[in-house]
Amino acid sequence: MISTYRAGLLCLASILCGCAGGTILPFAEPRDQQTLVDRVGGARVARADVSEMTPQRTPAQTTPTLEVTLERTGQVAVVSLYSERKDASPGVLQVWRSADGSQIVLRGGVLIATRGLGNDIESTLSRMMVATLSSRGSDSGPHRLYRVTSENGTEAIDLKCKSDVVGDEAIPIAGQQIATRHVQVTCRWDVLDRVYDFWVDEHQSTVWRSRQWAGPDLGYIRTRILKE
Amino acid sequence: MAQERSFFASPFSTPTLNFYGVPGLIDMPDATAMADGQVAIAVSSFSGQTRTNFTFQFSPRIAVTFRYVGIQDWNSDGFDTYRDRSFDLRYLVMREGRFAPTVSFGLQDLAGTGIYAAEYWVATKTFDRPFQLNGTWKVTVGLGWGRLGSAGSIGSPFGPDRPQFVPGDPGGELSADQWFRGPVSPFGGLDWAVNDRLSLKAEYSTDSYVAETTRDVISNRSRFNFGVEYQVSPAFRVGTYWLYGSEIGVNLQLQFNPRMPPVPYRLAGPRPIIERPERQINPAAYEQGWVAAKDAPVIIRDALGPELAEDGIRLHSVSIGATRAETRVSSDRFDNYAILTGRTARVMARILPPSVEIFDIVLVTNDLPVSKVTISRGDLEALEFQPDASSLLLSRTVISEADPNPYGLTVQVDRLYPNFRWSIGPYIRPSFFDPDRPVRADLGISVFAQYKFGPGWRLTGEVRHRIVGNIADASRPSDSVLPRVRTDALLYAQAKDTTLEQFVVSKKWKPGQTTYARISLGYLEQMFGGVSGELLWKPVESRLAIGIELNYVKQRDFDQRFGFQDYDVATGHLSAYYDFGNGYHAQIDAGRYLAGDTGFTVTVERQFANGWRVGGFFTLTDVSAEDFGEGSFDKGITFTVPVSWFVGSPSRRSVSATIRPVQRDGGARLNVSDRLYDQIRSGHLTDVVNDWGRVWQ
Repeated sequence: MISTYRAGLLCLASILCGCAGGTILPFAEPRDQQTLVDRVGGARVARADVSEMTPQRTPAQTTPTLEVTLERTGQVAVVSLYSERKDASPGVLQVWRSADGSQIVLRGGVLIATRGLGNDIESTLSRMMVATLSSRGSDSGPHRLYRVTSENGTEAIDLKCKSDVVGDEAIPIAGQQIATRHVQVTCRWDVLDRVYDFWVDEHQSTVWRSRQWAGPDLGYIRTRILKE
Repeated sequence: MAQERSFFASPFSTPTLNFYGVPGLIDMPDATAMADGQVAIAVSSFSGQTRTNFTFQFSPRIAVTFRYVGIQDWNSDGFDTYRDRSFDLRYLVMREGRFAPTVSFGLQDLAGTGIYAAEYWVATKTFDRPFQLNGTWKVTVGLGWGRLGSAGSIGSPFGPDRPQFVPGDPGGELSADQWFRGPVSPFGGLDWAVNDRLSLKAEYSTDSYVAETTRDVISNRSRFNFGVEYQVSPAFRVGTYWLYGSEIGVNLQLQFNPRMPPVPYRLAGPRPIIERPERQINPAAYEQGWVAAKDAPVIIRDALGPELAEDGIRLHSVSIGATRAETRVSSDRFDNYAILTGRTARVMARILPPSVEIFDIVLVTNDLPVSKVTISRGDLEALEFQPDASSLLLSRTVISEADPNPYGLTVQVDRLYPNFRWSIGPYIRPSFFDPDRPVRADLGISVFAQYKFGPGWRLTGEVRHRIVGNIADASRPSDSVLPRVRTDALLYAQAKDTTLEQFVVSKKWKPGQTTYARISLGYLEQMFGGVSGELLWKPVESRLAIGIELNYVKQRDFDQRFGFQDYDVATGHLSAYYDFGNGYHAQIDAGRYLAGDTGFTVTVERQFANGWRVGGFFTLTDVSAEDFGEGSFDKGITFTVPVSWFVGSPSRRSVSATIRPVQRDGGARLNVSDRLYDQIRSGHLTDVVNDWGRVWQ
């Protein structure tokens, strides 16, 4: 057994320890900045770091920025708006990107895809939630996540959802109090409820803060706009 | 319904293993089956007997086991320590219902008069908190023949004739005539999972350990065994036992599933697709006059190349028309052609003029164009963020044959050739199942270089220097009566520390739309050099492929420098490959082997979309079992583990191993590298579709 174990380790070492050269095509993948998801075994970004940074630094930001928190791991990062457009479906599409190239995609403030987090959400049927946020009212209907599987396929996660308006709340964003309406969407999957919270601008459709469930692997993801 | 994912099996959803490494009680089997694709490695030991077991759940109902055993203090039949290999097969007949139990049957040590030869039918029923008792109870009853019918027999319903175990018998041949023959005995037991981690087991064993007790290896004083097991982690379980009224035993169990990688696959997100302006609003943007510009192809090529290179994609050529464009691309980075396709399409959508509506992406591997993926640009723009976007895109995508050469207004990418690359790293060469030392290995440094001097042309060399190792210390020279094409491995290991592993010039090309060819010349492998040619027919949509390989090779000198020995042989095979779907593949190779014997090899393999492969093979030739020697015929199991599976990022590298119970000279094939089928198939319809869930990544 010990010999086999050693042989296994040597095998692993032989894969990982070699070096190579020649005209192998390099590829760009920035790794030296703050990342949305730390490398395996790497140090986690303390949540306090970002919170403290926000009020002072946000005015200096020239591009829209969003704070993203992966609740399951406690990892936090500030991401920048990478692209914004509309397509045939309701809701403005926003692709937010971290320094390491990880992305989250929002449609009208609803999380519809992730890239580069691992166990990603490929896409989402989000019509009901987008409509709810647009109207800031009560609604019900399906919400379906398409998760990328470890076998390179996709798998649908069907949720049955119902939304309610919790009430008006003022939330602090970058040193200012923003008047919002708190909309809560409760979705049932398996035998448990998954609760989505959105804090939507009282006058526009901007979702200033949210807490959204991104499937059984990623768990809950929190977002907070730092610079609109 | 989706479940929470974990690399390792849940302790509650996977069966516990017995001393033979199969789902069971302590020394007796039960009827439960592991999760589909599950891999279990178990090491059990008692009374100087150590069994190392590898079990693979090949399909939801079929499980196979390979086992290596060492029994100390045998002290007879010419063995101090008796060592043996064995294979098992289990079949799940019926799943558990509300009232019905799980039912399975098994063939243990199914080849030859092995020491563990036995057959069984077994049923297991699970009860949650029966009679207000805590935990889960599994009750198992079964009928055993052979070794499992050697105590407490109730008769011989299918005849009394059953050959006895013969130590040192070459074995290896299927012994169907003895299955379920001889005395049969009822066995059974209880498995009480007290809580999430702790379980207690008790069983009534019908194995009398005849061979072991007559040699004083074990004292068999009782048919009742007892044990306690603890789930240390979701993957690892340990147990300790009181066996046969006289012995203490331990069992270490490791289980994992290739479908659940230890690290999630992560890849930095792609650049968003840039939508074209609407034609009605800006019709001028859709003008097609640009295609007439003399330098248009060069400008487009020079724009596409760097953007693709940032993603680790190599552009080979660009062919353009006013409404359609083709790119030929390959990647040293992605092992997933769907990602390669998606990222190439995104770059094309960013660069190409709006009038280009159709993208043809030709996937190239090792300079061979293997398939063409045709995507509408409008679909890319419309579907990028739609629900179930990958399925929608696939339904509108065409995957077809790639022309051997580009068509139309084409520019090649400069400086693709010559192309030189090298690597230096450690290597390990293992050697298994020497009776004196079951695991041996050489470890050293490998220097590898490859020079591509034209499309499809490649010069490859590898020099190895052994630093440490003990393969050369073995003391069992070949006793083969056949030409010693493989059994002189010891002499090769003893000759030199620094060796030329291979030095090959090869050319690969695509003679027709559905055919591929390779020719290789040089020192092809450790023991043989010569010339090897191969032709493969594989339409992109076909599950069937046919190949022919012809080689003329000469045996290399033991020092593995440039010389040859006197033995030469013309060898070759006609091969048929079939993809059964759901990851099941089969291959039959018929022809002449290195020792001059003729016959066929059957290979069956389970391949997971993430690159894991587990398979088995056997070869039958006109060499008699007696002339073949130990094992009677060539057989073994194969593994391939992709590096991306355990590092969680894209990589084309993988680790492969072939494990044979014994390496003899009969049924031995040439180990020529770069055989065509696997590299071609990976870019064809089934494999690309299997990977398609990542096309938007």
